Amino acid sequence: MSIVLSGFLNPVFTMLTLGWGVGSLVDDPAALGTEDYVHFVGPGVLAGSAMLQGGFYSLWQALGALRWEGMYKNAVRTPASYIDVLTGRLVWGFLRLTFSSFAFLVVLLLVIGWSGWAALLAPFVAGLTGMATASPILAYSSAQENDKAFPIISRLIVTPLFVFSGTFTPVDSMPDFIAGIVKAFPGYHGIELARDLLNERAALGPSLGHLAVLLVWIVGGWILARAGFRKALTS
Amino acid sequence: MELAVEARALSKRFGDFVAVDGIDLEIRSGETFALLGPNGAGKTSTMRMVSTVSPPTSGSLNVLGMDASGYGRQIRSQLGVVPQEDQLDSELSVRENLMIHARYFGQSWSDAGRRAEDLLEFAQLTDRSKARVETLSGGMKRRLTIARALVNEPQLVLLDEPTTGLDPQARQLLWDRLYELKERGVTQLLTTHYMDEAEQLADRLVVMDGGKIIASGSPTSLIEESTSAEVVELRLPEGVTIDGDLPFQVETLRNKVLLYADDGRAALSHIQELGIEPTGSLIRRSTLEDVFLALTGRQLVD
Repeated sequence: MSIVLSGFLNPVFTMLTLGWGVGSLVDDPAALGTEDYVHFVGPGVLAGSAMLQGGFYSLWQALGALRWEGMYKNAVRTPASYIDVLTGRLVWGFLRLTFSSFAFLVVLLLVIGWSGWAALLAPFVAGLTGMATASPILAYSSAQENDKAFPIISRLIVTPLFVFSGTFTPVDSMPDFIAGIVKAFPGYHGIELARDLLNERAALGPSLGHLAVLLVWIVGGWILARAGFRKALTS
Repeated sequence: MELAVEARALSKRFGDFVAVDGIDLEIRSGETFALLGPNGAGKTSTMRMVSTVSPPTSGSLNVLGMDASGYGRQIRSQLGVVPQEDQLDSELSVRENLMIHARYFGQSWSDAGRRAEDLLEFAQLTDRSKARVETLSGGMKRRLTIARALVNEPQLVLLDEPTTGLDPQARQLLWDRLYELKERGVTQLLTTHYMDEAEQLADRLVVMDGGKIIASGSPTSLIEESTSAEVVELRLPEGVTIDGDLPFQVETLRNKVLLYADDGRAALSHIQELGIEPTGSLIRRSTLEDVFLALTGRQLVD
């Protein structure tokens, strides 16, 4: 229950405070390419907070499941393998984030109004964005025996990505160098795709491009995380 | 004869550390087989290899007629494992722990439910079915862990230190359950550092020390081969020692002296005739504890 609440209430409050609070200070919404600031920041928070939660899902929570609690160790004593456990963790994370993103979407649509059926795809994009962040971090965290470096990952990678991936301001307004870095990460692509879907402007080509980047991060992380899972569960 | 487990020159190394050092094992279908030894002897590493969770470093290992390195999934589907730490899901109820575990074996919810009822009865936990695991006593958790290991009706059950940390009553109850499993024809492989447990449960056993097997046989044959029929335990006054040429073997431990003699009463009289008056004495049958002491010169549990 707490999972659903935090997955739902966090983005709602973030959107409300920033969308209406900060949004009232935006002079020229047209520069954002959306009707107003809420149309810009709402989808940004939808995918961005999924990314943030995906990051945390692969830090303490993952190490707990893998090393401190016994459930995963128990699972590999059944016909399930360590790779099944890894895949299961990512699939479960995707379902959880998609579910809480649907709850957020309902609130968002109440605020910005119905924007077409494509909007219903946005929670799935949020789920994928979360796992595109979770998967590579899991590759790192599953290989760790303790959580010493986790606060650094959390503060220097996960949280800045949430802030700078285009959640609150257009990435193209940043210096080219920084924009280039941001565009290499999955958050930007998930946020752009969610924004396109909720502003009735998603074109097939760019959408598939964004989706491909998310999938590359998910699969890449999955491939690398296998070693950590093997070591933690079957040495 | 059908073998449930067959290992040849089986080894497990972690870096430079040799946990299991080239052991051979033959465990027959239907028997209860024990790995006995002190902490660090390599028992748990052996169990983890047999459960196909930990790949052997070298040697060959067949479990239920299949090669452990290539058929892990198939082997695990017919295996029940009771790990040293229960590793139950403390946030779920007793019954839910069984149900979720059964789902890993591909059972339907309704089959899993039916099986859970039987197992709860077997583990004498029916009245705790809806209780959260964290509210159970140590003995109850242990019985639930054994019930969980049986959800897939395994042919071979592996039990790592099944009664460590339990009070005598809880141990006895657990032994009853394991004995019932044995009567049903389930093969059991257990590790223990309790000699009485191995004597109670095992048809055959191996004694392990430092990753190697140092003796094997039935509990009675090991006692007959390695030690005398009886043991006299003596407590002596400060400063008094027993030495000299005696017709039986003497072992001096930290807080007591053991006399290995086939006739304990005669040995005790012999000591008293030498003018030594023990402050306490006890004549008992030899146990596997004495076997371990005779083989290694060390006590099993300090």
